[in-house]
Amino acid sequence: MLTDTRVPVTVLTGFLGSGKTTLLNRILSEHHGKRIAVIENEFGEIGVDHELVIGAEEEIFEMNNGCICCTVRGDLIRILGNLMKRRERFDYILVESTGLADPGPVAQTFFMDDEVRESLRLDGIVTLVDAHHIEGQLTHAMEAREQIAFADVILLNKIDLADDARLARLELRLRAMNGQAKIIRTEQASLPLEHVLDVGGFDLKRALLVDPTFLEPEYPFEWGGVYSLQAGLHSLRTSTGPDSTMKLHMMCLDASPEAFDLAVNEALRRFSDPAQVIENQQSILVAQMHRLDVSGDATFLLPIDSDGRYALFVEHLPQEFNMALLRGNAQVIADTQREFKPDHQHDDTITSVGISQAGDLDPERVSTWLRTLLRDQGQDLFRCKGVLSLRDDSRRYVFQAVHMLMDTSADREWGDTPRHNTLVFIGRNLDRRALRSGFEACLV
Amino acid sequence: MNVPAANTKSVKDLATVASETTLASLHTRLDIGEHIVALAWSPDGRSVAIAGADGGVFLIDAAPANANFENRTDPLIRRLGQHPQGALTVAFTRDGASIVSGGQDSRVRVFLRSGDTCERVIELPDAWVGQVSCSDDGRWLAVASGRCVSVYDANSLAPLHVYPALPATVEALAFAPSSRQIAAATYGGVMLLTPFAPFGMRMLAWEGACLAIAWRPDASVIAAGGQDASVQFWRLPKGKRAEMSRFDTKVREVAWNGSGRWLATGGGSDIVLWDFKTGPEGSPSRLLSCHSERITALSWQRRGELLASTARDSKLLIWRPGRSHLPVSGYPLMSRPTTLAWSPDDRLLAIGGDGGELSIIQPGQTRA
Repeated sequence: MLTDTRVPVTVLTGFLGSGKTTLLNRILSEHHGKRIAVIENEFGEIGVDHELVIGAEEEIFEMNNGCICCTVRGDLIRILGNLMKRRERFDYILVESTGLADPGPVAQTFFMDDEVRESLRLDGIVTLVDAHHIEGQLTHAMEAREQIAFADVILLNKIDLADDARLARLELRLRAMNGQAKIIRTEQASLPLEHVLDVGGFDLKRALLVDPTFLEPEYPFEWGGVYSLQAGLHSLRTSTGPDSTMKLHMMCLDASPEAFDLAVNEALRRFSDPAQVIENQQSILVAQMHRLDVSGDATFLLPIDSDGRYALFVEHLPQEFNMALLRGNAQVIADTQREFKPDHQHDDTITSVGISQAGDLDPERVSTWLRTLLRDQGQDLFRCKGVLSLRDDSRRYVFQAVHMLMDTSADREWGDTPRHNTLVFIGRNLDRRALRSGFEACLV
Repeated sequence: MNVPAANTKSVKDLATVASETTLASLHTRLDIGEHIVALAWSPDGRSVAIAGADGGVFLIDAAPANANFENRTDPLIRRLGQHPQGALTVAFTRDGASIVSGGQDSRVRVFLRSGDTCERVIELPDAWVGQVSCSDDGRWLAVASGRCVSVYDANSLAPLHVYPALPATVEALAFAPSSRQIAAATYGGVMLLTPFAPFGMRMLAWEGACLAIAWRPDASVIAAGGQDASVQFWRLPKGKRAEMSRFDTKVREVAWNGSGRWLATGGGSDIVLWDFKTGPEGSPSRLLSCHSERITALSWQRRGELLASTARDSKLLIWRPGRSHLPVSGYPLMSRPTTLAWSPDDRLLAIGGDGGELSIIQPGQTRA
């Protein structure tokens, strides 16, 4: 196979103030032996004069077919084209994109434009995040969410301005949005350059080291609530709902602020345990895994031993079964509640869906499924990647996509490693269940 | 400095060519040392002006190959000047006395061919000067810098007209054959600009990026190549638009033959010929397939029937499209060709390469 001699390009994104200029200056001033050209979209204060810095004004080329997946950056095509014609050769190109730029057209330029694709390859998208301000930006700015979604590397910068609990929470939120990016905590954008340059984010042979544990779990319960209960007999009333049984788990919480999050993890484990079936007028016990018979209207007894906070997790949404927790005839209202239905669990509409499963896939079915998926939902799918195990094929099969542009290839032999499928989808309003069942339908 | 070499190379390494094959021969080969982005013949056909990617503007003597170079006093290559960062475009004035160039330094530079006096400079607002074009009647010089088009007196360089900025960067600029109108290709269509007319701007709109334009010699059609692998054309004066799509790549090569019957387009490794005598609507296009890589330039003789093409496969091919779908001649080049132009008398072809090579080639004696 021919080696790829195209010049690698890293795209740096992030809001103004996230530390892009600091990182650029750091890259340019380090003794890395590379000749680097920088294309700047913002008027920064890059002060290194032995490297080439070119200013660009964003110019979006949409196509007349209206497909956002074909949208490219006209300014980049011109600048990169002219840069590659110079006698002076560059080993590396950094493109700094403004905080308000959509990374999609920037990435697509490297796949859609013939001249750019002939001489350059997109190595990766690095997104800088100001740990102090990113939460607000994620809530208010679609661009910030998209920059997270597209990233191969996320630098959680300015960590000196945020405490550990906050950073941990942030990291979870970022991971939920982008399950495949490497998240690195930095101060003053200081880190070894190999974490930023030559990361192979779009390289099929390198980019698929996704750790499935980063991927957000699929919750086996749709609702959880925290109740403050006094010792004594309570009851749980339900009416006929869409299903004849419903799994339920209740546990006691301690006073710590993260108690509910811990309980969610505990429930996640317990829901796969065998459940004891109970019927109308039987008792629900704290810390037991139950399956309630809700085929008709029912009242279950709920004895509580001591005053305290209790978490209750149920397989379906309470309103589907008219569920109410009662003390005597009075309804007890949950202090806090959270829905775990995939469509509701984040305020960010951008999520990752990961699939990690053993088994072989039917090559034709999986190819049709992926192509149909990208064709129909490509506008909402920012990045996809995967390693697939195909029936009767001794090699790994890899794919990656940006919106609708998919790249696939046969990879190395499975050899002694267990055959396994790992897929990641990052996008807007993803339907976790549909993705999952679409995948499962391809298994042989 | 390179010495021109006589060519004896055969075309055997080229793919099958038509039975009436003739031998193209090398007239001059020079190395200017930087990627050639644009070139232009002088109206008298004796010189070629070149714009280089590293900023150089050069004047090349294209005298006949049998001239006695040993006794010449003028150098074959003269460096006229420099656009810091890079030159982008070059043209001769119609009287042949001056060379006009534009570059990334947001300047237009005007050099006297005689080399007598130093250059004149037009300073533009901070934007690349991507296009310069002189009207056939010799009066006007049109300049595109970023999103703006301005018109100057071609002799005095006095500014005559500055148009309001276009919606996006001007990718190509072409005077109408009548010299009465300028077409500017941009994202969003082709803008027709009429100097000194009260309503001097008219947009031929299309929701895409136009990269190249060509007027039909009778000015009845304007054709534009697009970023989204399509060719648009508008029939004037009404401006009715039609589209030809599904090219392999974006289309930067659009060229009309002298009679206006044929439009040749690139956008892949095949040349597509569109017959405007009967169509192209409803009539089949013709394919000229022989290049193995993407076409980089197309040019027709002004009066003759030959079409020249270059591609990334480093070949020049000559076609007589009305007669055969196979090339009649060809020539292998040293580097990837970037730009191509027939001399005003249709006898020679100048080809610029990405390695700095300028080749001047004589297509050979083709039988009528």
